[in-house]
Amino acid sequence: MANPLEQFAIKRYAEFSVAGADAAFTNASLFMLIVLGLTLLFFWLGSRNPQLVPGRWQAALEGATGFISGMVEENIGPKGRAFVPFVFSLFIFVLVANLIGLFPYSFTVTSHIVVTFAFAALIFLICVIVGFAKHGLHFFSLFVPQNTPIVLMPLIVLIELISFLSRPLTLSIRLFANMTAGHILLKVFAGFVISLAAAGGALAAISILPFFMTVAFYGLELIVAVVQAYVFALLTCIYLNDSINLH
Amino acid sequence: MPQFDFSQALPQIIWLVLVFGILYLAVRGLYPRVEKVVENRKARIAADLREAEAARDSAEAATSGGTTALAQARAHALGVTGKARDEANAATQRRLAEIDAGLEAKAEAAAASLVRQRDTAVAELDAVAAEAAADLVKRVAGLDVSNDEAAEAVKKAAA
Repeated sequence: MANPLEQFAIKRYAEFSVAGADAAFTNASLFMLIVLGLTLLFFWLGSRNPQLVPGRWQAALEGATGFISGMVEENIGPKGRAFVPFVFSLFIFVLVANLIGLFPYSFTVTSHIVVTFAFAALIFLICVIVGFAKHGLHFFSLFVPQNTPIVLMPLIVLIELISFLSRPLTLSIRLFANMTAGHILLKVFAGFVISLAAAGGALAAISILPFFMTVAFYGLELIVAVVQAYVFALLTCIYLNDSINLH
Repeated sequence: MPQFDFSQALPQIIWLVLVFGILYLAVRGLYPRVEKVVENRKARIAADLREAEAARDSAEAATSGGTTALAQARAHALGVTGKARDEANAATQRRLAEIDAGLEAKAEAAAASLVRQRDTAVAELDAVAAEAAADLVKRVAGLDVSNDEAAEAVKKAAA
């Protein structure tokens, strides 16, 4: 049976280096470029010929932008308007990467902790910078919930601080773990189909069971791909809200 | 697990920074265009709705104006026909009264002339009776009675 982890392997296609740093063109780079290309294609198809009554691509693009604009408006308010393109970029990148990863023989950019953690660290940094820029040292009041009894203060502040600092970890591990686990599961069940069919006889007949299992899991993974992109964007909004409006 | 082989992390991060940077700049440039289309549509729909509402209001005003004009015209027409009918009634009444008066006058005149004629007839009858009486007296008694005496006698007998 094929190794279910093989699909996550980084393959180096061409060697590059930027200022001495290893910048090899890998399968991850390729699929990032595919995500970028598809996103730009989506924008091109959706906005090349804007109509009063939108066509299919225009309706899809306007649906996506309206969805993220509404999410930012709802979670941050009018002060969050400047972050709409950022949240949209995150959402569309994660969404397209997750969906592309579901094609057989493709590579899932978001199944790598390095990528998801880079995103989470970027979001965390932006939150901290925005928080200090907007509120100065008052930003630390984020760790002091209102109406906290003074006795509980040290404990609460510690808990809030840990929960704040663990945000980049939870944000990155959630996406990475969902993608990795789903893909491993798909690969394992698909591998069963092949092994059972190859075994021949009665075993070949029951290979239909893992096949249906794979189909069902594939449907589930499609949902997971969309939901994880949504969750990623939503949590970004919530974290930005904490920095912009405190709480 | 290849994900925990961090020897391959740097190229991923470098390419991610590059690709996501381009993606973000592109989205930031393209996003307002999409939003503008949506906002234009919203504005257009709102304007159209306002226009439709104004048109409906003016149509309603026009119909209500029409109905009041109609009611006024009907009232006016009713007034005119009522007046004409009243006038016609009054004229007929007057004419009838005139005719009645004329007829009464004629009847009275006829009655008066009847009375007059009867009186003259009666008076003539007296004269005839006196003459006849004088004649009778002359024939029967052979007396010559004057007309006046005869008339006196007839009057006495008739009374």
